[in-house]
Formats: sequence, C-alpha cells, structure tokens
Amino acid sequence: MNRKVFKVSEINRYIKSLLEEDVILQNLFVEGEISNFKHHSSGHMYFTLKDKYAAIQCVMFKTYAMELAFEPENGMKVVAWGRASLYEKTGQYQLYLEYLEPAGKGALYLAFEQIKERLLKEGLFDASRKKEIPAYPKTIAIITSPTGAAIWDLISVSQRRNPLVKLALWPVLVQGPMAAGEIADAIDKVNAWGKADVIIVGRGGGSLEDLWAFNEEKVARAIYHSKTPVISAVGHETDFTIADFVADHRAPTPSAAAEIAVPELAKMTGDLLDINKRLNRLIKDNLARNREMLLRLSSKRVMQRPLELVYQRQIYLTGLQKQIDTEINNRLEKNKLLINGLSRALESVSPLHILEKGYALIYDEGGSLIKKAKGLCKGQEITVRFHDGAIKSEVKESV
Amino acid sequence: MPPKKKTFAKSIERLEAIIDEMENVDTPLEEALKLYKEGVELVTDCQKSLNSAEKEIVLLQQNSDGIFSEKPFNLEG
Repeated sequence: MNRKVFKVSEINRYIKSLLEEDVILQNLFVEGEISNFKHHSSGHMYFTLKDKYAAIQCVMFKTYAMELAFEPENGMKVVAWGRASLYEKTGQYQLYLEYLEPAGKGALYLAFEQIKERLLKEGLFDASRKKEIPAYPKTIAIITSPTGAAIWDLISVSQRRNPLVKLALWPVLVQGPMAAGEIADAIDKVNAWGKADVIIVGRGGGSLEDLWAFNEEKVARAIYHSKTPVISAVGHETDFTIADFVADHRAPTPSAAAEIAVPELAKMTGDLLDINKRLNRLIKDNLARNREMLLRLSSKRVMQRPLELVYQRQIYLTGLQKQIDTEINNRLEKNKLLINGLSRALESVSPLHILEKGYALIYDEGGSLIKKAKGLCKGQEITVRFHDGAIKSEVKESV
Repeated sequence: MPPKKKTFAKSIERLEAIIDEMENVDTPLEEALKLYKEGVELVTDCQKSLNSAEKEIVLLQQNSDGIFSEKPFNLEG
C-alpha cells in the first residue's frame, strides 16, 4: 500500500490554506465574551472569545488595537470582526480580529465611561477650549443623515426662524461601523471648506447602540480640532454622548440646535431698531448736555458783567497801597522813637550834663585841662568852666 | 469694486462699541456726531443686508480633486 506521509508543517499549512480560502471565514462578525485578556507589551492583544459552550483564541494586532475606542476587559461582551486562520507553529486555529465593538448595554456603558474618563483626562472637554457660538452666523453646516427626521427638524426650524441663513448640508451615515469615520471626516471637510460659521452635527433619537458613533474617539477628536464652533445635537434631551462633552455647545435635540444657532430674523430687525433708537437718544443727550453747558457758562457773573473783575482788582490794588503806606509810616515812627531814645542816652553821658550837677572844669591859659592842684603857681590865670558859662580867675594860694 | 461690506456680526459689534463711546459723557460733541453718522450708516447697511440676502440650502460636496461644490438642495426631494 502506497502511503503518503505528510510532515506536520505541511498539514498545518494545508489546513491554513483551507481556512483562508473560505469566503465566510475570511470576513466574519462574531459575538462573544472576552476572557484571558492580555494586552502584550508589543501592543498586540490576545484573548479568548467564548459563549456558554465554546471558546476561540483571538489575536488583534497593534495597528488595529490602537484604533479601538475602548480597552477590552475580561467579561465584556463584544462583537468582533476579522478572519479565521491557523498559527502554524502550534496548529492553533484562531481569529485575527481587526475591529471590536462593545455589545449589549452593560458593555457599551462601560466603554462609554472608559472613553469619557480618558478624554476628560486628556483635556478634550476643557471649558477653556470651547469656542463661542457666533450670534449672527451667515452659513451653518449641518452634518447628519440625509434621511432621518433630524435633518428636516433642523431645516424647518432654521427656515422658520431666519430664512436668510444659508444651510450647507453634508450627509453622512450616523449609525453602524462606518458612521464615526464619516462624521469625523465631514467635520474636517467642512473646516477645509471654511465658509461655515457654525457646524451642527447630530442625529435623532435612538438606542445607545444607535448613537454609538457619537461616542467614538474619532468624532470627539474631529470636534476638538474643529476651528469652526461645533454644536452637538444627538438624540433626545436625556441622551448624553462623548460628542456632547467635546462640542462647544450641546443642544438637547436637533431642533434645539437650530434654535441655538439660527438668530431670529424678527429679533435681528428689532435689535437694529433698538440700536437706531439708542443712537438717536445718545446724540440728543449729547447735544442737550453741550447746550446746557453753554448756558451755564454764559450765565456766570464774569460773562454778564465783564468789568466786575477789573473793579475788583482795582479795589484790591488800592487796599494794597494803603497797607504799604501804613506800613512805611509805622516804620518811620518806630525809627524816630529809636533815635530819640538814643540821643537821650547820649546826652546822659555828656560831660556838660555832669557840669549841671555842680562840677566845673579848669583850663590853663593855653586851654589845656588842669586835672591836678600841684603845678599851679600863685598868680596863674585859669579859666573855670561851669555848665552855663566860664569865668577867668587867678590862683591865690594852694591850700 | 466697492469696499467689502462688514458682516452683520461685525457691524453689530462696531455698533455696540459706538454706543459705548457715545454713552461716555466725556466724548466731545464733534466726536459724538462723527460716531452717530457712522452708526446710522451701519444700521442702514445692516437693514439692507437683511432685505437682500438670498435664502439658500445647499448640498456640500467635494470631488476627487478636493474641490468643494454646492448643489442646490431640493426641499421637496
């Protein structure tokens, strides 16, 4: 019997080729629960997908793992997309996954919280980054599904409020795996177009799964990087998506977004009338103020009796002159008194004054004052001077 | 070509600044009159723009060369 003996590697390669030729196995969605999750340091993810009865080994390479909107966890229910193949080294058949999305409410909520926390930490929700919504936009870009109720709500509310605002519609898918990419791309494109003053991005109500695209990081980042202010309008009042947190303004519904973005034409006309009234009142006020000032100035004394000031100055001058005269007289008087005092003091020390008291001065014939009796001789003629006159006499004898 | 008209938003912004300045009692009369004239002209321009703007709803598209085009959007369609 002619046996064909295969090598192990040949078998594995053959089975691998069988798997890879199968159309179904090369493009499949699988739902399951994650277990044995390992995020390897290389960036690749390894885990098992299981249901109640079975399990499959799964790999997600780094390039795809990086794109994930959330971090898979053990016990999380997911829908995975990828292909089946065989790892020849071990003969282990496994799924090579390229896309994962959380499945079921619990997983979605978990993923939502994960994304929210991550982007919050990264600063994508910072209030300081939020742009102001312009009060009078000329053009509004609307990114939403062309078929949903949302677009009609947006158009009709906008038209009712102000038919002069231009609406530029950019239709996108708002649901399913392609939606997030299309929405993010549309935001980038509208920015590149550059003619919109505001972007409204949104959709009508739906389940958490339906709204999921608006929770994806791609959309969040596109909104974050948009230079044009973005209003999010996703679902109903109670629906909160990541897009709402990043957007510059969150509208509870698409209709509300139109109400926020589109200024009412009637109000604009009214505002203009108000401004016109204010301008008129202000110029009137200013004129009145100036007229009043003119009046007040012209009613002043100096304007009415211009010579008054001159008279006042004259009186002042006369007063000054009087003051100067008085001052000079006072000084003269003071000096006179001083001089009198001095002359009296002088007199009191004059020799004549001493003579008055009964003293007399004696001179010789030459007129020299004789101060001693000694030296006078008998018969010498002397002059005796009293205070009131002088006499000539002769020395008789010394005593 | 006449100088480009200010946008409505820019005009309103300027009008608010004009009113602020006119409200200041220290603004001299000559200056106030100048501001008043500018303000009234702006209001007139704005009113005109509200009457003349055309309503428009377009479908924004970009071709493979990256050129944007605006196609009229049919409300009934």
